[in-house]
Amino acid sequence: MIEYKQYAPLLGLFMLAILFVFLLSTPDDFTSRQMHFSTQLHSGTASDVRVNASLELGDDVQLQSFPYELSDFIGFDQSIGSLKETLGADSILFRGYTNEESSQLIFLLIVQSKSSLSFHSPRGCYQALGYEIEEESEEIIHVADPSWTPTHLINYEALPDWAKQELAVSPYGGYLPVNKIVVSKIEGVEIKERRVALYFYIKRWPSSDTIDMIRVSMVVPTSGEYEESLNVAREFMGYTVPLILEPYDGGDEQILILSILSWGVGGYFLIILLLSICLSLVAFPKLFKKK
Amino acid sequence: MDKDLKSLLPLLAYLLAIITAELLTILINPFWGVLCNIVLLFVIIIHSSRSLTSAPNQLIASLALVPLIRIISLSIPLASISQLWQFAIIYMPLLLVTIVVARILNISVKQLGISIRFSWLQIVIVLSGLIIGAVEYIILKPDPLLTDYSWDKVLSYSIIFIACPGFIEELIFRGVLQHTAAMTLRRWGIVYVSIIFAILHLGFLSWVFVFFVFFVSLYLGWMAKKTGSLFGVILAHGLANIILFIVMPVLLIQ
Repeated sequence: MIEYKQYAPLLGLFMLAILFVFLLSTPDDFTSRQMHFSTQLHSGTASDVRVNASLELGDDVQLQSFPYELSDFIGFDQSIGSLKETLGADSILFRGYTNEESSQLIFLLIVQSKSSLSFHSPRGCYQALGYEIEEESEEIIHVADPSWTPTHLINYEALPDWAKQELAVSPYGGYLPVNKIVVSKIEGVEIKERRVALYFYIKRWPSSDTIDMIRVSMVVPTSGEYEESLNVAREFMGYTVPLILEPYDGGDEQILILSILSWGVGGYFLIILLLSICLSLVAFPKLFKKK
Repeated sequence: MDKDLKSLLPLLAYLLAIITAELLTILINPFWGVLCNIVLLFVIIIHSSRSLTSAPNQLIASLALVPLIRIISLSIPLASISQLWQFAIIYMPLLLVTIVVARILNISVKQLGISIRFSWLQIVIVLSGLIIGAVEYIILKPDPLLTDYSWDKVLSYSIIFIACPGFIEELIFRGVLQHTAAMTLRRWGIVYVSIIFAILHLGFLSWVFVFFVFFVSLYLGWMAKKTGSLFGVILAHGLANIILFIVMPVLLIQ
């Protein structure tokens, strides 16, 4: 019968690999609470931004505590009806907001679904409701909050001119890309209704399949430009983001090897000890060879 | 019935049972999949415990590793653990069980292929991991595993990919299972192990991928046999996963 010690190098090599990964990890790497702001439901993009939640969207009580007053916008609850089932959502907030200046009605929809597979994107939802997709693209929103700095932005070159001008004058807040969709309801040849919606996702992949979507939509003129309404929607979304998310600042977190080494002699001793345990397992059969 | 054919029937039955357990996991509910794997594990243990001297019984005993992979990966509560550490937690018990099975079946470290025999063929095998990973990406197009491409994260995931799916899966499939399958099925042993290896990839829900994995497994099995070492195939397997989940997604997104 083969002795167990012959297999010790297998265990030693594996433990050595795990030790290296452990020493290269930050304390945050062990848990699965990472969240990302993204424009894509099922895939990642280069502009995905790591974020922390400032509002627990899966908790209905917290979700309903979302402010009714946002800058000069005043909100009121909208009937949810069968929206929860239609969207495949587990928790939902649906409100209308208006402000005196624009007198336009903005709809804010925040949903959380435990499964990205059962979740329906605005694209699919609007089509199911009989709307035709007129336009789809990305828009940049300005997150007007001091916790979001210009470092929390997409590639400077990708910013639109208005954002570059703002940055040159006052680098306040961050810039994030969101999806834009323009849809119309057509009866015969006549456009009966036209809507513009801005939306983004908050993902916890790969540790969790839970997905959040924040959508701001409004009715716009059935023909011609809708830039004025879009600016209002963009401004409104810029106010909602800091109430839901805060930028992740992982710069302070050190990898464990640096933290342990900073303990001084004890830290060096611990690392040498851990390495020695793994290496002695690798060399175990040779160290205890029967004469 | 021909005696040789009769000894092959249990192997065929276990193959069907493994397929059934995988399909239950994927199509019905992971709970039923785990339950089916637990039953299968018990049957394998009872069946092989009658005698471990015959080659078919040794192969059946080593098949216990297959349901164990699923039981461990599906039943450990890992929701609050990061993806990186999920690998380490799942593969550590698998390594320990593999060592126990290898010892019970009297498979030496050398027979498992744990040796570094440098040859140019080993380098070619390692580099073939680049192509395997790229083709797998074309088939699956998975989401990028990383959003933070700092050197420590890339290095951590690369080490985990080589140590966990690379090292331990190769130790199980090209080490233990291929050794016991070759004793019973001769040259068909590699095919038998490759079918099992491909079945365990049904969860990706792509027949093209499953077929590709089958041929990759045949190739890795043949290379492990030819070189007598798992060194090349471990690194090729790890490299393929690094290309699939880390390199290709970011290359195409940028």
